[in-house]
Amino acid sequence: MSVSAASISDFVKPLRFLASLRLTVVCLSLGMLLVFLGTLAQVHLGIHAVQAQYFQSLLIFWSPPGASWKIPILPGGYVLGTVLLVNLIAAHATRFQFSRKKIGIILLHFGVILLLIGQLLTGLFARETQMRIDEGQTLGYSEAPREVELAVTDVTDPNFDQVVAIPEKVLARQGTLQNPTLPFTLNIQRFLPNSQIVKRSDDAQAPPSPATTGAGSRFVVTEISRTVKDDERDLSAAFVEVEGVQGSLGTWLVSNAITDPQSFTVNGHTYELVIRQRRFYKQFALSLLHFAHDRYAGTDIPKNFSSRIRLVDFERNENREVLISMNDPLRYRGFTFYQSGFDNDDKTTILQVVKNPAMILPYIACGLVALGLVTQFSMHLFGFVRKRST
Amino acid sequence: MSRPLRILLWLIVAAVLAWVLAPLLGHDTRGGFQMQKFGRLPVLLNGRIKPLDTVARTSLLIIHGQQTLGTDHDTLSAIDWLAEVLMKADEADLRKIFVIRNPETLAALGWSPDAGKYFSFRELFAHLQEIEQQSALAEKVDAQLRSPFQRDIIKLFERLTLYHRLENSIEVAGTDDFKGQIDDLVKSIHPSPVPMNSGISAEGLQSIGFLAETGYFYPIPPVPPNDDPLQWRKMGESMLNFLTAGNLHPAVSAYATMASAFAANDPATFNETLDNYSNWLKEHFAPRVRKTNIESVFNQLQPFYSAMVIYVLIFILACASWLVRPETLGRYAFVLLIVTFVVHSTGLITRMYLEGRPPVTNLYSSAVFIGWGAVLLGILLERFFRNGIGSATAAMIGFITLLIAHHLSMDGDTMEMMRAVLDTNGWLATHVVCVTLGYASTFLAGFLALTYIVRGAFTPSLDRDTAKSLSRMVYGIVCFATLFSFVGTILGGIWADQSWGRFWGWDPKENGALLIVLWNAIILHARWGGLVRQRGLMVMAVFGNVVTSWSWFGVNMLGIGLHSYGFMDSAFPWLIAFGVSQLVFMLIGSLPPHVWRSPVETVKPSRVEALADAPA
Amino acid sequence: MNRFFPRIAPHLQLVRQVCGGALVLLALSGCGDDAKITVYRIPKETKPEGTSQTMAMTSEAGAGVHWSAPAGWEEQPATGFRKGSFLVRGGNGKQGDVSVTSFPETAGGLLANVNRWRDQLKLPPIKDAQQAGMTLKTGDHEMFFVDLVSEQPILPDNSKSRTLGGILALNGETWFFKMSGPDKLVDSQRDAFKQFLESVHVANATPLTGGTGASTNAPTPPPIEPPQAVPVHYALPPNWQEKPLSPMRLASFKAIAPNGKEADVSIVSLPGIAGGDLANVNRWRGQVKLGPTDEDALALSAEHIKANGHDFLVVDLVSEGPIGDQNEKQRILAAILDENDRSWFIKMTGEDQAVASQKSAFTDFLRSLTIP
Repeated sequence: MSVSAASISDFVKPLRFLASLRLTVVCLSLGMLLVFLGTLAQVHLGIHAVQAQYFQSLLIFWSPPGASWKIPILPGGYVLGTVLLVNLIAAHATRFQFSRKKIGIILLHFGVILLLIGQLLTGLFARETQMRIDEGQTLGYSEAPREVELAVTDVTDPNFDQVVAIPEKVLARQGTLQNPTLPFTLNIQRFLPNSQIVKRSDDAQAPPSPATTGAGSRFVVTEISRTVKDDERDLSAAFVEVEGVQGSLGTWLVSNAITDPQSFTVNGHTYELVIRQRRFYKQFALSLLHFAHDRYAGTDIPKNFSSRIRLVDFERNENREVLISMNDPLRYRGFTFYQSGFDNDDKTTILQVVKNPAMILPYIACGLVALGLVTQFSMHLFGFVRKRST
Repeated sequence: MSRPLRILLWLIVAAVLAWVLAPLLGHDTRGGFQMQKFGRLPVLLNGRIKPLDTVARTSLLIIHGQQTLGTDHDTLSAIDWLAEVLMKADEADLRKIFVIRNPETLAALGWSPDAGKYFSFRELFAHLQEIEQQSALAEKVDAQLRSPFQRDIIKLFERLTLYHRLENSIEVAGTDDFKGQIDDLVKSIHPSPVPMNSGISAEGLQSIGFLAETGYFYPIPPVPPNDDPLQWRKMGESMLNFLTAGNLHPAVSAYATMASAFAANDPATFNETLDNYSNWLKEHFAPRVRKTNIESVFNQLQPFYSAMVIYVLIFILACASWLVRPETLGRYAFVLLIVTFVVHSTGLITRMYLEGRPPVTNLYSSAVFIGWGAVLLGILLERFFRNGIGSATAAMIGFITLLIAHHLSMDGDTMEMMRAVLDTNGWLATHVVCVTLGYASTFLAGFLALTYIVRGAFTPSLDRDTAKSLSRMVYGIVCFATLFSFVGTILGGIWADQSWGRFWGWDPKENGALLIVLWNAIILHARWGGLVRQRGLMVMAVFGNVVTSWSWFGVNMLGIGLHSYGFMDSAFPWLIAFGVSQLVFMLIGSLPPHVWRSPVETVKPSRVEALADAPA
Repeated sequence: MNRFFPRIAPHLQLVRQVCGGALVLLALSGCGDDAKITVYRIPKETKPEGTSQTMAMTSEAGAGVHWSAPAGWEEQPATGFRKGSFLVRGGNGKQGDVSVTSFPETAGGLLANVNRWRDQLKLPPIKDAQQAGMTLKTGDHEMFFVDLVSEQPILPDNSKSRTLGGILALNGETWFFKMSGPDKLVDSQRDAFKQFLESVHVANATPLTGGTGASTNAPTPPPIEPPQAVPVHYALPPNWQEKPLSPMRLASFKAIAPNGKEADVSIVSLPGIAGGDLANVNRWRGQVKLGPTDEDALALSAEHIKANGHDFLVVDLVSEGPIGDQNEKQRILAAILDENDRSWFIKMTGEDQAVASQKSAFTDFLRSLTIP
């Protein structure tokens, strides 16, 4: 008995700690600190960097200015969320009894559990992209606003293009890439996530360009830090050397500022190189028929905007018109299309495309929490009123 | 309560109501002109059809910082001033209305620091190029990083531009006889699709084009029965229309006649034309006229200002009730609180009617609504506990929030149009109202806790019963606050999910709301777990004030995210001061009980609702 | 406003290819495979926008209208009310000038402006603008394109002058793109100019900073915008004093003559031809109670003063007898300048002798005018 009792009590003490109210209060307080610091950090880092560093991370580091080392000072969003989750579940498993009086609290805690899980799943699996469609244009893909890819396209066939898309994360690693479908290797000599590109004629002092062919020789490229403003895009650039069996075919400068693809030929196939926003092709296409932008009289304040879109999906035999407006999105095949913005003097619509498998969880969670709170507090209130009236 | 005391109470109530309604008696007929009626004429500005009175008040507020203009002899009301600007610009240009406080601005204009504070348009116009240049340079800097001089010069240029545009809204500034010009025009031109072929002189066309470009508001309604707000025209646009298509709009000749009559000091013609035009408007645009009339009356009454003042009276009465005659004074305070609440509510409902929106649409209305919510809760508390505390805290919060609102109104029209993504009444009515009630109740809990600390530490009046009532009040309000702030925040997330597919984006305003929820939750958990007792609860509740003021105001000062309302530099030191004051009170509250003047006992923790650490 | 239907046939084809033809989709979208190279096949896309030789990073102008200048055009500082300015060099030191300007509303209308340009090349005016040019499709706008060459050699180097112009109505404004210079040079640049016109498009942000344009901000008070102003520089002759500006005039002076009388001087500027030289001269003639004149008589009697690259048409009009309240002879000395799609009127009015005494000062003043 003594051995098993000892092992059970070894187990019990950490469990009690995990289930304790003190841990809850500590975690919530750390959470407040995290949220507050994250808000302040947004002024300089921008919302996306803060999301990644503070809330979708395990630890938060700090380094004194100029130093290259950093120390972890706070748990990040994922760690804190997980501890809270464990704490809540443990508390319910050990301390709570399912009584009628506690039903409100149980409901609301269960809702909180769902909410936390939902946010975790969203952080891991949701993807947000954009579609910029000009009036009259049909688009079958959406683009990542903050991520680029290098597209190596075989344009030889008159009917089809074969694209090898190399995402930014791979480009950032630099080095040599080999893909079985390409008869050459790509040597990413340098990848610049954000850069400044000026004409060589404007900057006589600049060192010679690593690019040996194509547009690269006309420009000077300098690296700058990534943008933190929400409405600006990074100007990514890379120096890519193409090496065939017989040696190098040249080094190209590619960038999303150089929109014309630069091409070369290998084994009778023509290939084009271009850096563009990362594309996600869909199995259906949207065409913008008309974008409407109403303003308040005599002002430029937008009253509402909406896009009339034609949705065509041959797999599922869909060919219909839909109206996407603010607060009224289109939901189709797991994607939701929101009216996000416009450009080009009302001739281009910008749709936000969201795919989030955990989308429904917050709704369920919130319903449960609200129900739980109302139940719990009305029980308190009625009890209080009854006591007062006696 | 005895009869004479009750009669006294009703007399006081009557006096207060009379004072609130007194502004309606004023009848502005400066110089014999029906100025009040002139102020009721509807014009379109910034997407909304409003009375000239509103334009006058907000413009004068922006330019001069007040809704009236004091001169050596008397005080001009806003509409008096605007009439002069519109129709007697040469004289209006001489009035010293532009405020320059920043010494660097004065230096940039070549004036010494003791040149005074107020300047006229005429004086500043001479330096217009200079001001424009400096302002353009300052604009290149990011809003958050501008120096006080840069902000001041940009504001000065904006005000000068506003003034310049206002004085060219009805006629070209300084015109002596606009009616005469219109008459000439009607006689000599023959409408033609190419305006220059209509026979108008090049200079004439230039001045019409100038009016069309520079005019600030749109005084000319559409041709009835058309009632589209998009069809209201500026004076110059309407005249251009006349050159190309014929048909001089009756409003053009009405305004022109009034302008000439005003410049020539002819009240009779002015009033007659005004009457005729008003009647014409009533005949063709009755619902709009009704709304603008209500808005004029609302402007006159200024219910929020009146309520703000009465709240001070209530606060004094309630505090006094703790010292002498608790029943009588307590009742007086309570009745007055209800009366003022009615005034406050009337103002709120009128705003809702005028805007066609739920109560909270911008920062100004959120301030008004927080006051309203706190007062409502305070009334309920007072009804239950009857110890003057509910009234006192309600009045205090009512006063502070309306004071904040008053200062926020200095930026311009508080009933602006809402941007597209925010304009769904459904979400405005639910999410925004819930979150604002969450703010209101957290503030109420905080101020109740302040009452506890102040009365307990500084006076001997915090007896056991009062302490217990306060404890219950704070606990109850924190529960209420948790419910509403949580539900409100969740609704915000759902709105965001419906609008742009992201339930939670870690936006500063979202984060602020989350902080309030978290803090209220921490208070409850700490209380339930016995980690804090009565004093601890109070100290934590006071911190709720800090968290809420950060969430409500502080995040706006960061100038980033989806909720950025712009940099409010003048509010920043006040925010810091408030935060520091709350921390001081928290410190006082944490002092050991024997230092307190009241006998605050260390009460045994109540385990009735505790989810304590039971042994496994 | 459904512009889609006329083009539905080719688009359906494309869409059919996009969907039905998306054969081998090896892409794993959105499952955290951010570091995986993907290979897929898609049907050929039609290339968006015209391909340009230059980078997408083209020069900006205010008001959101953008264009790409062809290689070889030297960008000049866009001064005054030019929104864009380029210099084109040809052989033998020949130069052509390209300007981009914009004016509110119709700026006088198509016909008036074409006739302006014709007038500058000493060509007779025409009645029907459609004859003068053709419509050019630029992106999704339609630009009115004119190609005018003078009949006589009117340039200093004895060559004919040619003007290529593009007129575009956009957003309540009219944009003018004009290249003028020696006939041969401009002729050789016609394709480049057309390319330039085709590159004109409207964008709210430069292509790099992909603006979302989404107004997701909470309401702020709308900014109070100042009206536009056109600057002009001059040297003030002695005895001339500035008067307070009235908004109709750009500048206003009084000239004090030796006989003690004052003459009033004003500069007014209007877009387009503002009625035309003859109409305005006749208006002034009316003001000094003279009968109207006609084109030929005007061409004979009017002086031309050329200075600083401007060509002023100057008239000197005296009333035949005493007129007006003062019952004295009135004189109007006025200059008209047509330049850059705007007309400038510099006018001195006053008592006959007073104005006459200021004639040389007036001429000096004209010579000192720089209109950017």
